[in-house]
Amino acid sequence: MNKDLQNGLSCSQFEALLAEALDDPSQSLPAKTREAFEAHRVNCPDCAPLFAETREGMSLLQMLQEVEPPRNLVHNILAATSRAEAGASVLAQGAQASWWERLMRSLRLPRLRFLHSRFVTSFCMAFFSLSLTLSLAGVKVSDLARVDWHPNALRKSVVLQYTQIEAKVTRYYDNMRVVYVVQSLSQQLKKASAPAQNNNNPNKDNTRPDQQNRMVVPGTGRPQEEENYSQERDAGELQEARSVPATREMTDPTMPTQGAQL
Amino acid sequence: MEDQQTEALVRRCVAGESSAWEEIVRLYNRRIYNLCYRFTNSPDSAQDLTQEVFIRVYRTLATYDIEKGAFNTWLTTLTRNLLVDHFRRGRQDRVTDSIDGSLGDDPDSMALSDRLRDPSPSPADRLASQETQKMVQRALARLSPDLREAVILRDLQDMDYKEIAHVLRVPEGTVKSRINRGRMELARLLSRNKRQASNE
Repeated sequence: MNKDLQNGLSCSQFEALLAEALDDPSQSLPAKTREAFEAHRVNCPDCAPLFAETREGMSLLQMLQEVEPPRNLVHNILAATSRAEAGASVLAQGAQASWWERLMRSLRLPRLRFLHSRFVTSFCMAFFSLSLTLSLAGVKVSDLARVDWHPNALRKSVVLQYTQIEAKVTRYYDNMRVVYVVQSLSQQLKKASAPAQNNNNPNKDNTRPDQQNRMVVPGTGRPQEEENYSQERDAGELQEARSVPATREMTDPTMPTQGAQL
Repeated sequence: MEDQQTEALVRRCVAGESSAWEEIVRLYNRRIYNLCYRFTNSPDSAQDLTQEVFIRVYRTLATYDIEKGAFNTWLTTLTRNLLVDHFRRGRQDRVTDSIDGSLGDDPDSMALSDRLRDPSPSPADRLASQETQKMVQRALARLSPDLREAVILRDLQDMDYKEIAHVLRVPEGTVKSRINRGRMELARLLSRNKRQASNE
């Protein structure tokens, strides 16, 4: 921009007056200033096209006509503000409520959840299980107050407890192994001494009382196996059994006995 | 006189009178819609923004102090703030880039019934005028937001420099400078488009 004075007005002054000069120079500018402005506009080669472009732009903008808003715009605005009013009234109710009402309102949902029967049952069961586990483990609630909750201390305590339990379990199984070893040795000793006694007293009946009634199978020397209800009897035994009424049948008065039928 | 009427309307509205609010909406919806449309160059965005403006006015009307300025200035400031938010959200990019796009639902174009009813200008003149208006609107949309809002408030909303300076929160000298540059830039854009059209 040319900063030289042209007819007593610099280009920057000309630009500052441009807007007002384009509006209505007869009212917005004093007569002397208006004359200086006009003289500068005519003589300045930079400001003359600037003035022409600005005036053209202004006339183009003022040529733009007002557009018609959509027909439903007012209706939409009123509907939207009525919705906003409804929301605001709810907010206003919330703001006017006392602190106790707001507190109870905020606690209402959690309280209902808390009092739900399933939740209460689960909570009781969890508490019972925890207290039972703690009492079985020998933990007292009063001891918890003396516990050092520092992570390193807790880690040491857990390691110590684990080592002690591991030692107890190892000792228990070592003792059990000793017991089983002694028991198996005594059984072996018994088995080893039994054939020697039989050989020394072949005629002596050293069988147990429940083995005394066993029949020896001829030719094999093995004792005859005990009968059970799944084994079949020979025909003679069955015939003998038919001749004797069964105990179950005699105890049932409603049923005729086999002997009567025969 | 007008300010007193507006003040009375605002007081009635703040007191809860729904008819007063409806009157305010009917009085100012056209002005706000035009401001939004000229700035966004989109009828849909202008409608949404106008609704948003009135919802905000409805919520904050109680805070309006008539001693701090005219209701129209307060309303324009609020609208301008929303337009700035709208521009920052980036919607403007889709609109301003479409200078060669179609304007099928252009509010500048007259309805068929209005065309048949209007006897004054010839169809050729009207068509030329419509085309010029579209071109000006497109060029306006290509201006930078600072220049655009200044020329809209001055040349389309007919606000004085002091009010514009209050709305834009800048000195009056800056307002005048922006208006000059906006007008000049618009003229240059249009002359460039005309040259391109004549070359094609």
